[in-house]
Amino acid sequence: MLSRVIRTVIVVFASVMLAACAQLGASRQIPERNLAAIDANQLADSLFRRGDFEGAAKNYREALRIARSIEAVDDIAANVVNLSIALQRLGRPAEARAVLALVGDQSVLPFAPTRLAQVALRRSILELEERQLKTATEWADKAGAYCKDASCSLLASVFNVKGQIALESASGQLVASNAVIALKAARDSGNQVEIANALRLLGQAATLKGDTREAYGHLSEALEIDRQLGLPSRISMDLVAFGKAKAQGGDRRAASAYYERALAVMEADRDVQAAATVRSLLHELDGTK
Amino acid sequence: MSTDTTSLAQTYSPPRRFAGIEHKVNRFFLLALVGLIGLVGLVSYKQGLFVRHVPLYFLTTDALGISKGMSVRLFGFQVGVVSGLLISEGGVKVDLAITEEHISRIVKGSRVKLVRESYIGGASLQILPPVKGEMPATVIQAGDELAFVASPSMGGIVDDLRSQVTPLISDMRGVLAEFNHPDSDYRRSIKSASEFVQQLPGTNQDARSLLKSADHAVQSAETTLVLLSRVGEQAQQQLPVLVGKAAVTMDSISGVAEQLQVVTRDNGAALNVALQSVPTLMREAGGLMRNANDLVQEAGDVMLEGRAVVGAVRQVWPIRNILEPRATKTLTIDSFESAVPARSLPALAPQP
Repeated sequence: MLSRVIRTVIVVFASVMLAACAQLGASRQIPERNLAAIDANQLADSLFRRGDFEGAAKNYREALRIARSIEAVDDIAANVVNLSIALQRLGRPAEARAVLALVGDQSVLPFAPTRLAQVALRRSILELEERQLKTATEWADKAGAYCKDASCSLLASVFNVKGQIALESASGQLVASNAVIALKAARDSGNQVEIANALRLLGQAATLKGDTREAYGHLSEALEIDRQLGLPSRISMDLVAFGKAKAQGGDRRAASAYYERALAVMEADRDVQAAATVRSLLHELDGTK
Repeated sequence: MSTDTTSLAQTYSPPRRFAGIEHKVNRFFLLALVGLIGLVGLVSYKQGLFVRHVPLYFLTTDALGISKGMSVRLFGFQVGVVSGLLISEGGVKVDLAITEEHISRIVKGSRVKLVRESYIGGASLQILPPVKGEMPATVIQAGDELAFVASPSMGGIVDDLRSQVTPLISDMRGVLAEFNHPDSDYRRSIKSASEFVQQLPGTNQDARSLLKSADHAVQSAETTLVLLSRVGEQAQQQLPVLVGKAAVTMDSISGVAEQLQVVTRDNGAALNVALQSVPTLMREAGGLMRNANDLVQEAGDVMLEGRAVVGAVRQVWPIRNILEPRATKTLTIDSFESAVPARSLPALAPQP
């Protein structure tokens, strides 16, 4: 009886002590200037999610300015990465590249390797967009070098970018090998977006090899994930990849149907540029009939 | 039956694996108790239980917001706690326990004020130095009294805020009413400006006709001079006739000049009226701009206050546990950010 009482007292006391410790930890005060940077960052984040990239870029720039004024190293890197994404969405790659130049291993500020990896990866993505494959490869290698640690969550993205670079060179084997590494890394980290990206790459590599059956398998899986994630641009990419696989197999009607679906998705998403490119694919297909 | 029970009790022996279990359990709980006491001692030490304290007190008519255990701060550092509250004849006697280490920093005549770090939560007692020249700077002694400085309550702050916001809203209403009233200065200013603008073409026309008249006058003068030169030779013979013509011409010039004078006066008067109304217009416009500027500034102040209140609320438990922690967010880097649907594969020629 007595021991039960003592045990209860110990449990209650330990709980109270734990709660007190938790309270002390939670009551950490954030300085006013840091709060201003966080506010600007979070406003930009919500604007970005609403599709207002101009507003997002403006607020990320403000957050970056405040972070630089107090040398908040990690916040500087975070806002640089975010701003570069917003600027790329606005079709201003030169500005995005200039912003990324603020963070580098040559900088006087001690940026964490993960942040350096993020910045190098972003740079590689920008170079890939400009079809500067050599530079894109260099930056992707740099990102990989910063991302040596097994816990690095960017590993899947790095190999998916390398896979895309190989895809641009129509090197099916290289695409597949990179995509396999990316798929494993993405599954390990549970990154659904990169899992779908790796599967799409595997599907495209299979199409390059002429193995349409394997391509359908990977692309179906990628499409399923992208639908679950609700990413219109990725869904249209999957559909276009399906169309290309069908066209490769000689089934133009099926290819046209996939392109039409991709076009409908892009039009519904009001992505005029992407819709135009899909339309040009349809014209190409019609021209070969 | 009872014989059987007795024999069973005699023959029963506890399992060997539980031998001495009672001692072991007791030893375990004894160790736990010692550990607990040690932990309590450590916490007490950290909390300053073994630090010597010097008692001080102050009297207040209202102990609202003051509680036992509340921290006492000097220049922002905690130097003691409220050790007790007692209703006395003068109101409430609040006992303070100040750490001996810091007592030398408190001088006689120091005052105590209840302050809050923000609008909500985080209240503490702040020891303020005496007003300059009021008291000699000698160190306070144990048991001395401090003066209490009453600070405005939350209700007072809200009332103060309301008293600041109410005239602002009235001003806004007044300005809007001023804007909308047909006989307001603003409307009259706009009307005057409109009339001024409307008068400009008329003034322009008058100036043109004036120039035309002047042109005619110059032409008449030229014609007259030509006539004068032509008849120069007969001047002596026909002088009386010429003089008469010259007189007519001069009359004509004089008439034109008078006309010129009248037109100029009219135009000048119109221009004068217009120019006189310009400074008034400018002053009124300036006044309106200043009002608008004040409004914007005051609205900004109200926004800042509101933001401070929201910021304070965010820090209060349990709201801060419910809300997402405030930290910089990083967007997820998508490896296919640069990809477009058409570039899903490099140009593949469909098979025939």
